[in-house]
Amino acid sequence: MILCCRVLIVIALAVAVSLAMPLGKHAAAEPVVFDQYQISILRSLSSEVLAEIDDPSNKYMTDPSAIELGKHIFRDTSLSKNGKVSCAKCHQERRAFTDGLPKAFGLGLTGRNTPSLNGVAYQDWFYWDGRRDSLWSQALVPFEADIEMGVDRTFVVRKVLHNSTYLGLYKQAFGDDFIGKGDFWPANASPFGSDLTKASWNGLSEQQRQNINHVFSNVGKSIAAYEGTIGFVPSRFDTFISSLEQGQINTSILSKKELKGLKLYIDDKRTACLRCHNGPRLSNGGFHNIGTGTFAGPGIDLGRSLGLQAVLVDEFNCLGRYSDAAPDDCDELNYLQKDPHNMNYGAYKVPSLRNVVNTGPYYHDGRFATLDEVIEYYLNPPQLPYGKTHELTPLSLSKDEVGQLLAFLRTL
Amino acid sequence: MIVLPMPLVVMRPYLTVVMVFVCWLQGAGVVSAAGDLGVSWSGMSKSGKYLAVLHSDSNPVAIGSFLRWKVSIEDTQGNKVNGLSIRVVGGMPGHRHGMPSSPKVTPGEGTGEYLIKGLKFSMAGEWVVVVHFESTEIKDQVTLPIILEY
Repeated sequence: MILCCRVLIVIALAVAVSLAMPLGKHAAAEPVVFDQYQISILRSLSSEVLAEIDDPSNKYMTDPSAIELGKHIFRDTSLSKNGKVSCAKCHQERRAFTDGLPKAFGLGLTGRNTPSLNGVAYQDWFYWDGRRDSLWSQALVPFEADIEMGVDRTFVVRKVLHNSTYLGLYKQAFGDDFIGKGDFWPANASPFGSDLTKASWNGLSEQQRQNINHVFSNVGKSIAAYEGTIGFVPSRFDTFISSLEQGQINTSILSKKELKGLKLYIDDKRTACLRCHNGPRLSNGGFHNIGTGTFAGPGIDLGRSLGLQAVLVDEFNCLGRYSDAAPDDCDELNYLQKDPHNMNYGAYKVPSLRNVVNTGPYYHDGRFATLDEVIEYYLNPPQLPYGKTHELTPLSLSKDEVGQLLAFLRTL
Repeated sequence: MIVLPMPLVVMRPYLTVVMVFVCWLQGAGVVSAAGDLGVSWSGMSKSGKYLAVLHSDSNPVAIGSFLRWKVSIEDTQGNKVNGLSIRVVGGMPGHRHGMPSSPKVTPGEGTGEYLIKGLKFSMAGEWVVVVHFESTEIKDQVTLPIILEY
């Protein structure tokens, strides 16, 4: 029965697409046909097969008060050194929660491109090099980064606990454990930052540090809870896939050019896009070396090679005392690919291609302003110095095919 | 018994039929059936003295998820070998990358059965899984080509 349905869908798609084509050139009348296996691939890309958001390290992920608190903090510029930087400065809703810049600019210029937050909670790793293993532990880092928000953890927790609106939401979400002695915490203390800040931190008892870290981690968990509400923006591609599920091919959804681009996208021999950009997120969530690492000089950036080492020593990781997860729930960390050489050297996280037309510039360093430049890179990947390698094989696509692939990417 | 160093049962039903037929032609043993019974691959060790059987309860094998697998090692008499220290590595030689995770292997509940945790495949295509096993008397390995589809 299922087989019959699939065959009917193939036939229907072929017929419908051919009927929709303008009657002119002979080539234009040729239908775009998807076989059974191709249709099964298309189904695997549907946003409808996205699993529930699941972060065992943050049990407050769907708590309404945590979400509300996180929404406020996300936009709060008073939690930065100059009073002008918030999460929302770089993650702008009108730009698919990016900033449109090659590299993020907080208090200063950072070394990496701002990733989109659309569907961010579905990810397993955070930052281009995966140096954090949860959305909440990632959200803590910009506060204490000199060139992002430039403050410290006691500054953040005191600000949050001294704001009556925030405090009310905080208590509703997290209770009042750890916050009873907040007034006695120093104004500026952190294991990072200036000598003075570090000296203040070192002057605290271990119990005080843990209390501060508990509240700080809850601030991160509230931001993550809010960010978990940011989904992918439904696209024409989603509508097309939905029509496949219903067996009703609506040819007004994707043009013939876009359908040809889709066929190229799922063709492992012609483009191999699916190797990295598979599944409902159009990302396999992993790290791949496509020759974009910088192995020497002032802009040195080894990607995952250093990120995997950083996450292991992060006190806020899944296995840490501030995580809500049982140790056995930390699969990504428990089975971490720890080899800093080989595949991880110069590798970066595979971004989702959903809504990709709105998330440029592209790559970890924002080196390409347009998708056209990105495809050009895959046609002519770089020759790396002796001893360095990457996973890419040059694609061989005609000018028309490049146009088709680009047209398809713009439907996502 | 001749055992092919290739998947005896693969994910798609029609391929399963083809593979079973090929195995029958060559006198190979079919380790497992498709469907609810999962999917298995088997192969002879480098020394030719041991057979490794790799089994996934998930069929088809889900791309991108951590799955629990089992592996057993048998000698030429068909006796399963206990007390082995086992390491599972692999990758996609054709793509020039390794496994996205580092699986860990512990003794399973059954005799001569070992549990693999943390095995994940990040894409369809031609993977290679290498099962290294050793004890005080044994040091050997089996290489298993595994072809996955979406």
